[in-house]
Amino acid sequence: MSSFRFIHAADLHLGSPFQGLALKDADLAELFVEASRKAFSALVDEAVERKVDFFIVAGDVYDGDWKDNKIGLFFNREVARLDRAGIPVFLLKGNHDAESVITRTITLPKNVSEFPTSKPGTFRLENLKVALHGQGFAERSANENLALNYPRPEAGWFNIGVLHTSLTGREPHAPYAPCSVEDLRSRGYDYWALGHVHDFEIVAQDPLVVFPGNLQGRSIRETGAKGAVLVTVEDGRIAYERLITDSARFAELSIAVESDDTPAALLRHVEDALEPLVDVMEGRPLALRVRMTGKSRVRNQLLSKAEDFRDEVQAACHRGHADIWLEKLDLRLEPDDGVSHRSSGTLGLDGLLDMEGFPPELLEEAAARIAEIAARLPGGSGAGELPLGDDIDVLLVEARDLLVSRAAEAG
Amino acid sequence: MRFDRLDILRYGALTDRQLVFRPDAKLHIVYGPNEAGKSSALSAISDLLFGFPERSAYGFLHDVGVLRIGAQLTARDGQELSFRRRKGRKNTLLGHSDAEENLADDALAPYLGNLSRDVFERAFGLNSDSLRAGGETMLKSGGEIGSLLFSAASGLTGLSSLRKSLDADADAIYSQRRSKDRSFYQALDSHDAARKAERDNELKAGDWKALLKEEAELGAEIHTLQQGREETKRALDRLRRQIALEPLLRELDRERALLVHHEALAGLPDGFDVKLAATLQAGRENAAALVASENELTRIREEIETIKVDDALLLAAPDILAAYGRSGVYLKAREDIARVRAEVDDFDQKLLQASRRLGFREFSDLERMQPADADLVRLRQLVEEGGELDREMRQLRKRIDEEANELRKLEADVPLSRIVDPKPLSDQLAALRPEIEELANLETLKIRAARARSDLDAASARLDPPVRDFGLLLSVSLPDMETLVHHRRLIEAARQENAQAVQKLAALKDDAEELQAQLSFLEGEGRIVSRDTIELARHERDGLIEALASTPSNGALQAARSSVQEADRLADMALADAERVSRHAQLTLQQRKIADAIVAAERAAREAAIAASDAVTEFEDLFHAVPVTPGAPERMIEWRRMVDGLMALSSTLNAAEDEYEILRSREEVLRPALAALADATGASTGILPPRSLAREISTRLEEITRQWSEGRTIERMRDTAGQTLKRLEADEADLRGKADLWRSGFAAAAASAGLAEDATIDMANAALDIWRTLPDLLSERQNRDRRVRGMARDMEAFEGEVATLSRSLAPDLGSIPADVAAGMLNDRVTQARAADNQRKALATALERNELAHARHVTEAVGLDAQRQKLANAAAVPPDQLAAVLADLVERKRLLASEELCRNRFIEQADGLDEEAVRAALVDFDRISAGVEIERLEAEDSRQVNRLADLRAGEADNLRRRQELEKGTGAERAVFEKLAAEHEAKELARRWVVLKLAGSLLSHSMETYRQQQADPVMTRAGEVFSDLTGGRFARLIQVYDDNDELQLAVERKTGEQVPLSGLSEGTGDQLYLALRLAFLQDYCARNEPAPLVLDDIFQTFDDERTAAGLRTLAESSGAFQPILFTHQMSLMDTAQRELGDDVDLVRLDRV
Repeated sequence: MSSFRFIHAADLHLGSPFQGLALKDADLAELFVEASRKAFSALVDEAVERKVDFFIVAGDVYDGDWKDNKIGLFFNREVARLDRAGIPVFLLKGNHDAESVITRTITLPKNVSEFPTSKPGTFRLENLKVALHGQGFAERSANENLALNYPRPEAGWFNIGVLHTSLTGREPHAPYAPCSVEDLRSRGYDYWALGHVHDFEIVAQDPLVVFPGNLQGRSIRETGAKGAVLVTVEDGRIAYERLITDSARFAELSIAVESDDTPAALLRHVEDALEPLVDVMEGRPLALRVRMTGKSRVRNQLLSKAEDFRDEVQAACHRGHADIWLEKLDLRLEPDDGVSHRSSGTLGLDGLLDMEGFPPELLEEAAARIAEIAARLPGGSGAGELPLGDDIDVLLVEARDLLVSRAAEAG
Repeated sequence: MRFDRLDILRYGALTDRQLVFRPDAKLHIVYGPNEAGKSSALSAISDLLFGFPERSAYGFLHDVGVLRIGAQLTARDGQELSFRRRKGRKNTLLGHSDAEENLADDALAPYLGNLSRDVFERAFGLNSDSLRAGGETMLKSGGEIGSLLFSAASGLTGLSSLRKSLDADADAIYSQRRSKDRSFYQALDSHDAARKAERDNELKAGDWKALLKEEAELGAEIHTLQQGREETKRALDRLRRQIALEPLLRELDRERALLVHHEALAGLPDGFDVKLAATLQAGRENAAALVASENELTRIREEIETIKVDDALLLAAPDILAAYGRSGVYLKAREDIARVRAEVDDFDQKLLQASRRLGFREFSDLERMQPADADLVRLRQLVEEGGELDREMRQLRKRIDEEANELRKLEADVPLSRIVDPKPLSDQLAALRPEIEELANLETLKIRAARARSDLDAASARLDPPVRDFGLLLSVSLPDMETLVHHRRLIEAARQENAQAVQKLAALKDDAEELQAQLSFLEGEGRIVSRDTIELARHERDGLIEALASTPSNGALQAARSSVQEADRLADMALADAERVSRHAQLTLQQRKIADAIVAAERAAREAAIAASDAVTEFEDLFHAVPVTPGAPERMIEWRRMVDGLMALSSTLNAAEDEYEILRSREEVLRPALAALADATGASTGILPPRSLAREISTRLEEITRQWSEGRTIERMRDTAGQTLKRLEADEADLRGKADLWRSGFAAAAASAGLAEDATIDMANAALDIWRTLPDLLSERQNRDRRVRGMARDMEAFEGEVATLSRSLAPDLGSIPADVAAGMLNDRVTQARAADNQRKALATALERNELAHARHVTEAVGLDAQRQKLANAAAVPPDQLAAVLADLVERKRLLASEELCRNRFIEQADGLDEEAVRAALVDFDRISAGVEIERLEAEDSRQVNRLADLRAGEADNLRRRQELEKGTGAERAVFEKLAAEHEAKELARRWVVLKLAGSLLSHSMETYRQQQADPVMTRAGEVFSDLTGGRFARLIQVYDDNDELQLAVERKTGEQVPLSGLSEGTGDQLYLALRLAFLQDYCARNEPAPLVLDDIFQTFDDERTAAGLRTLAESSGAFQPILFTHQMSLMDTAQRELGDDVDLVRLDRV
């Protein structure tokens, strides 16, 4: 059996917008905006430089509802580079590609071979004795077990199965083309190049079943290093390595607060916790979510000056590393005034506010306020049951906390 | 909960302090002067109840670890707890014993209820600042009862402004009215901008496909057009080629027709024409050369014939040339010989003159008498020596004369009188100098003493009170300033006390009169039934009843009845007039007290008057020995200060006078010594004072010193001059001896030079000059003589030689001078030599020409043979060879022309052969072809333009596609759109929370007001009335112009006053009333906490303070009031107002 190398990538999601980022820094925003494109260009660079023998994309080149065809031109230009380097590309349509208008608009270079969507198809690389089997998505959802219909392996050849699937379920990914590892194994292939799940995962070793993860993290749910997989086959022995291509990362930091921690101490905790993160960044900018939990005596103080404290946490992040950017400060603190939090009758404001549930007129007013401003929210984001993300009781509790903290501050 | 005891064990600067609060007291006043640790104690209460804060400011003396506060508390239910508190995070409550066993962290819960530290400090703590701030807030804000009441109750101020700030913050984010300053709308604007950018940057599928279609259409049209254009080009090329080739073919035909005429020469071999041309040319050239060489030979031969040469002259040429070469010397000698002969004569004349000057008659004598060189050298030396001796002699004589003159002058300068040595006298004067100098101060001292005296007199005259005997004053001991000041203070204190006592007495008397007036007034209203009267009546009644009981009788019964009636009547009267009776009793009691106080005050006033008088007497006693009548203390202190000044003046005067006297006695001692010195120096004594005399002596001594010095100098000069004269005279005698010796030597030497014995040095010098020049003269004369002879001999030899040559070679020159003849012979030789040379050259040329001629002849034969051979080859007679050559040349030209023509054809035929072209040109019409070319060119131009347009379109299409491929996508815009959505959502949430916070506050306030206001307001009104001494009756709620409920107060008279109409002080009282009413209400429903007040009455006047203290004491049923103060008077007031109800606790300085 001959020796060869190939790249297995999936879930490029080119053009996919970053979720939940409100970065005020224009340069950094630019960096995150371009991150998906850069990641794919970097992967193509790797392919050309390492002179791989072929290149597999196991679905979701584009984001489903992305309508700007420029991203298709970008993809076309990059695969054209692979064409010039003599590297064939095998493309499988994922659920997002199925509904993408771009795939219907942009004609790809001649080195790109696309798996059929009506039935499984096979591409053969005669010189390498490699057969690639796959079936793309004709529509957004594919609820059948596609793997079962994949053809028998070519005897004496290196057989690769390409499939966009959630296997038996990978939360929070939608369950598409469900199948079990056993189903895959039953095909008798040498390698399964899967797509759809955004985290890197070696599902099985024999045969090697791999989710390469997506090329670039796009929200706080997609943390850590992202990239593709380089597979090397030498005389039938398979080895793989990850090719990290992302140009920006997401990370979460959870800090357990001690009751007596002062704001300065909290900032020190953040700084201390950043140290291990700096290694994880590997020179890339990092969008960081900081979550603080626990009882705190300074909770009210922090709540009343939430914006200022957020700025201070951002400054602390920058002290840790110039490229750590606060994605969100999530304060989930409980009050702790030292002795007890029982109400002091009617004497303190918190006692005054310690009512048995909120009165109906306040609930009504809250609903009216939310409806008033939700109607003005752009992009339809005000639609839905919880236009502001939380229900009325949560907002009222927050309002009460704010009131108590502001009153304490005012003296 | 109440404090029974507070133990400040280790806290701040305090150690082991215990404050015990009396259980039955209604108000505890903790008195502590400044720095006693009052603030520490206040802070300790909070730390005790709620724990030490993370960073305690009270760990400066004791280690933070050992800080301890303790207390004993009693809860409302009677439960007691004795405990301590340490600093820490856990297990900070300890048992009160020294073992300090841990208590449960919630051990205080039953005592604190729901209180937090914050609420305790704000609600149960009040100081004069917060009281004032609360009062001011209340008066300023006016309305909003809920907020006011709650603020007052909890100590939380600024709730109205808090709600306003919440509303303002919300409004900055969003309100219904759109504004670019509101951040929510900013986010909306950002969203709109991003959406627009998204649309602008998005590439739609249709647009891209349209571009691709356009590209394909352009490509197809370009392809078709290019094919059409190729055809046009081909037709054009064909026609243009035919037009070009048609004349070429005609020219080719013409050339070929001409070549046919020279076809006969085609058989001659290659290169024949070249060879023929060369042979014919060589023949022509050789014939010309032969004729030329013959002519040259004839010319040379004729020229040789004409040349003649004198060979004899040529043979003698060397001699003639040599003779001619010497003719210059001959001519020079003939010129010079006469001048040289004159020079010989001149020298002869000079030698004769020299002979005569030396005294010889003839020149021959001179030669004979010429002395040897040695003699002349000797004579010259002697002449020099003689001159030197003479010069020395004259110089010596001149110096001797000068010295003698100087000596004479010095001897004439001898002083007239004896000169005295000044040194001993100067020494004496110097020894006296310091004492003389001291005398300079004498006058100054005298003046100083006089001034001191007059100052002293003036000062003593100014003394007040005056001094009877100044001398005595200086001798007695005077009281010092400190004593005087001390006594002044004593007198003032005594007088002040006296005045106070008098004042107090007067005040008491006034009070007594006032009391008496009040009593009289009360008594004037009717009989006063005093308690004593009733007691007396009852006592009497009881006695009568007992008497009746023991011995019943009518009388006794009657008496008992009337006594019972009397007692009852009195009691009824007292009861009916209770207030008057009570007031009368009180006033009577006060009157008694005042009477006692007056007696005491009178005694005190008397004692104070005596003490004041004693103080004055004691003061006057201080001056009993002093000759002065003492005045008031102030005056005597000033007097004493002046006496100190006088004493200082007096001692200055004494010192000056003493010093003056000492100097005076020294002057007297000096006088005789100075007189003796004056005598010795010859100074005029007169009656000069000692210092002037000393100056005179000093001047005189300087004069003597100068004379002494001058005399000594003249004497030294005279001795020196005498000695010099003697030495010079000895030198002169010595020199004379040397002159005699020289003279004898000179006489001998002069004779040897031909001079007489008495010859002088000048004579010898003249002779020496002559003898020195004589040898040169002789030598020059002999030289000239030899030259004359040599020149004559050479001239003669030259003339002979020329005559000989002339005779043999040119007899015609015999009679002319030798030099001219030599010149002419030389000319003739030159001519002969030129002719000879010409003859030799011609002979050589002739020989060369003869050789050339022979060669040309030979060559002509060879060429004839060659011509014949060529003629044979061309089959023509030799004379027709030239014509053959011309034919050959023409044929060659025609061949070349034909080839050129053919080449041009090939070049333009584009590879077509001649036959094909000729075939195509059948029926070719040039004119039609031209017209067709024009048509095709126009077609080509059209096609080119169209193609250019299509290419531009294609490039534009490519550019647009490339721009789209590389251009910015919509990602950025979508990112910004999502970020704006995110931000808008955050802001919306923030806005809702702020709005709800504001509503929550308003709602809570209103609820609170509705639930709590009325009973608390009623109670607050009562407290306020108490605090204001009844000036205000109650608190009321009224609706204002805006129909909003407002707080107001009602005067005793029923007048309603809005809060803004109250004074600051009344505002403070209102605030205190509200606070007390609320706490009373709160404590009725909850575990009470002590109310800790810190000096809140600082700004209250006495009346308000008294009312405040009473009100606080009245609150003790609800909670434990503890008042910290540093004002001692407050304690007096409290004792006066509350008697035993107040518990005074002292906190002394650390």
